[in-house]
Amino acid sequence: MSLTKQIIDATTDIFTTMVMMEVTPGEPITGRVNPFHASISGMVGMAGSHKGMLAIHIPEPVAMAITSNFLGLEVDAINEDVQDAIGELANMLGGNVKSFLTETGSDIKLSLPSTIFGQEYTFQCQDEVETIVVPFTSSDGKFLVELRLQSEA
Amino acid sequence: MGKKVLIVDDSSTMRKIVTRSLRQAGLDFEAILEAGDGQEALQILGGETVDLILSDINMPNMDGLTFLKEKAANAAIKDIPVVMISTETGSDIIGEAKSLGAVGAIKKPFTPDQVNETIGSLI
Amino acid sequence: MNLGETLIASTKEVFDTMVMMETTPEALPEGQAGSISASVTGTLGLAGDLRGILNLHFPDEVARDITASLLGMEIEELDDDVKDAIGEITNMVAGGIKTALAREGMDLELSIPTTVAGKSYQVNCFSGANRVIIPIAVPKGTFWAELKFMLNS
Repeated sequence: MSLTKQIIDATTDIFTTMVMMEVTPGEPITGRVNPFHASISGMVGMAGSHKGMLAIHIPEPVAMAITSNFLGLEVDAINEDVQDAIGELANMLGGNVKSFLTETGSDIKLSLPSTIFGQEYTFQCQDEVETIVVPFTSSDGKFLVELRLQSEA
Repeated sequence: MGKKVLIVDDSSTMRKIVTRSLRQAGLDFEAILEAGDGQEALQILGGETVDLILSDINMPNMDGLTFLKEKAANAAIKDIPVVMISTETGSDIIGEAKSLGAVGAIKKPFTPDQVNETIGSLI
Repeated sequence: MNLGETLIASTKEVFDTMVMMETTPEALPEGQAGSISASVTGTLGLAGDLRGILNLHFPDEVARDITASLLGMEIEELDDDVKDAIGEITNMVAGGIKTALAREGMDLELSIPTTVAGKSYQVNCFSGANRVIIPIAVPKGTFWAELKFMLNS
């Protein structure tokens, strides 16, 4: 299975079960996806046999809808609940990708998740890392899942 | 005749930092060549003569240790001195690099003086 | 093992050697645990015996000044050179922390650095984590070194 397919399966699975939201993957995006506007990004770092990072970039309204479903409460601002929920989403997605890579013999550990949010921000890593960006559509709006992975030679 | 150096590191930022450090160490090179990994380095060495190679250890496609092995097996380039520049402080990795032919190592982060100390006598 | 001291020492080592700039750690003013005003943040995940995130937050002018010194170039604006330089510095400070913790018998793996930039953004971590934050003065201003972590028992 390719990493792209793994990202699609992991995201779809987590959204269907934990967030109770139907999501549809689109074609992977090449080229710049920055800057982000009125959005929140959840990310988790990967370390060990593969160094990398998984992030989910979500516009604010979508993030609030996700949090409402996920935590079972109404939210109307990017508060601590939303930050924790989006961080947890990134953590679960990272965990899923980690399990997938572990099956193929890799030894990967996850860092703590974090979130970045604001009215306008760019989010970038040095170019020399394999990057996969998959867009998803839900009834509440679109979001992106980004995986950056550097394999040891 | 001027000396040439090849910097091998997957981070373009780190290559700029090394270039700046060489300048500040007072080491004068006619040309500074760059490669993003061991494979690219071997390709460049196929067409250019250099007097010194500075190489990172952890790189995609071909890492520093594999590069040393490949270089040692190539009569045309095996004698060019290689100094490793790396965050790897484990003496076993540096030891392995030396057993594969590296003549020295500079640990990141480093000062221009440290660069001069390690490299100055090689060129 | 004092993580605050480890963070300061590692930052100082990178700034003394590669950036060639004096750093002076300062005490955090009372009650200022929350807000940091930064234009660019280098962030990197840590995994292993300690799970965490290292963040280095810089105001625009400080980031540009540091980059100019690190790369030996004129820097006019907050461009990709600055973002890459901040990522590289974050990577090296994390490397120093890894080495220091290894001496205490703690194994740490590093993920890849990511740089966030923007006029107004916030970086947050899972609210249950421990946090160390240190303002550090340099010629053109102050930046913040932040470590959020949880120890694996």
